[in-house]
Amino acid sequence: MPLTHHRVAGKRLSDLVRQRESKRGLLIAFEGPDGSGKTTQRKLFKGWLKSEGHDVVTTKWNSSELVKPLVKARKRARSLSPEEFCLLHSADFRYRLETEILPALWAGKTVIADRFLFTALARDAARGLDLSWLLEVYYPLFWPDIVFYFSVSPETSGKRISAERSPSYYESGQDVTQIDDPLVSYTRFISRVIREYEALAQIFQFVTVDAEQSIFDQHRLIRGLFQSHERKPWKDQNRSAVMEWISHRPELIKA
Amino acid sequence: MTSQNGKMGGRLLAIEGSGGRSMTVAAKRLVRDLKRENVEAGICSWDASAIFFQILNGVRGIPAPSPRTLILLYASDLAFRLRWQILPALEEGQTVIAAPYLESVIGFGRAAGLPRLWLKNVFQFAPAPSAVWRVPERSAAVSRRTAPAESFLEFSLSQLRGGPASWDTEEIRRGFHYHLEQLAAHGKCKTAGETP
Repeated sequence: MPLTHHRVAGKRLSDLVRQRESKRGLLIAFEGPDGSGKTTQRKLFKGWLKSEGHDVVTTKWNSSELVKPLVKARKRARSLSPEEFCLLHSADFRYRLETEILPALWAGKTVIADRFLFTALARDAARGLDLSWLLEVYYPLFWPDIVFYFSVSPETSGKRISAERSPSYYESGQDVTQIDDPLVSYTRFISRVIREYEALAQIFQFVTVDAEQSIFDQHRLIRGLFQSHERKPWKDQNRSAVMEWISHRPELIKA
Repeated sequence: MTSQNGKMGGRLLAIEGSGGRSMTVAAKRLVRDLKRENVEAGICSWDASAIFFQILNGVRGIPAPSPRTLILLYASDLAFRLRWQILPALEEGQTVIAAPYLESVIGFGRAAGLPRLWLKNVFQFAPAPSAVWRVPERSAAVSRRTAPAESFLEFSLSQLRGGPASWDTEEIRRGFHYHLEQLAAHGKCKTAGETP
């Protein structure tokens, strides 16, 4: 039975995606625990990229107009289980991937992601969810061209966060630690998150940045790594995600 | 007859279909039939967490979510239903009628071209029901289809019609019903009206 009216033969889509390879933009993800300084670095990097003539788009974690209000309301009511939290974030991620990230990459823009799906994998695994299920939920996976991982100790993360504010209920992982004191809970929870991040950094070959260095040293390192980055074609999984997205975009196929 | 749901003691029954009045009637009829056997049953409907209600009444003019995104949202709502409604009732030994449950969302996903394995894996957190009924879409109901707020299928199709992606929503609807018909043809579900 034919599935949808506008689906185009896989071979043609595959050719189309391959032809786009040299014109597509790069996706660069900034990952790390809270208080690792990735947002500061992301802003500096974006400014520098723009000064170099790149057309840059930023996408932030849990920021879609579709899902963000849902998460916000449920966070306020403290009514989210780890599974619901994970599934809402995955819906937000998929939505942003299909409506912000892929259109920008297809148009040749550079996309900077302030947190990417590794945030979900680290936090949700720290909440006790099974990593293999998480990978299924985020399937088809879409890998960035570069992942900068900002590495800090749980102590530094805790100090930097508490210097500014008291961590929120979910940020401090109180939903899983059941500890009343947000700071004590945060220290316990962020240690788990960092453990998960460190494992992911090895498996997925993140570029680790020592986030305890000075802001300028980190920025200089990131620039250098970006400039020396060897552009590689999209992996098969990325191509699958792009093909799924473009198969219902007749205007792009015709163009 | 239906079996009990594993260790939980209670019984989980599912009614699948495109939603609206016919699903409500089928669920209520099942409650009545069970009552004749001295079994008290409760009905658990979709969108108990109000995710879809909030989207319908939320920001306008944004791009429509894809079937994959819609399915992840359904999964979140189902996780909510399981936590607050279904599992507590089953643990107390009660009978729960989930209308809809898994096969409606799987039928929608399959009709939209998503892999069966992905759908199965995403919903692995949901216990299998003891028995499944499908509610066919009768020709009389086609002319006055359910409003988007009353059914996951109608909600999803109305979203997909919003663009910018291009979907043949009538073909998805046909694929959805085809999936449920195939389940019935292979003895994996009954058609509403049959006794429990």
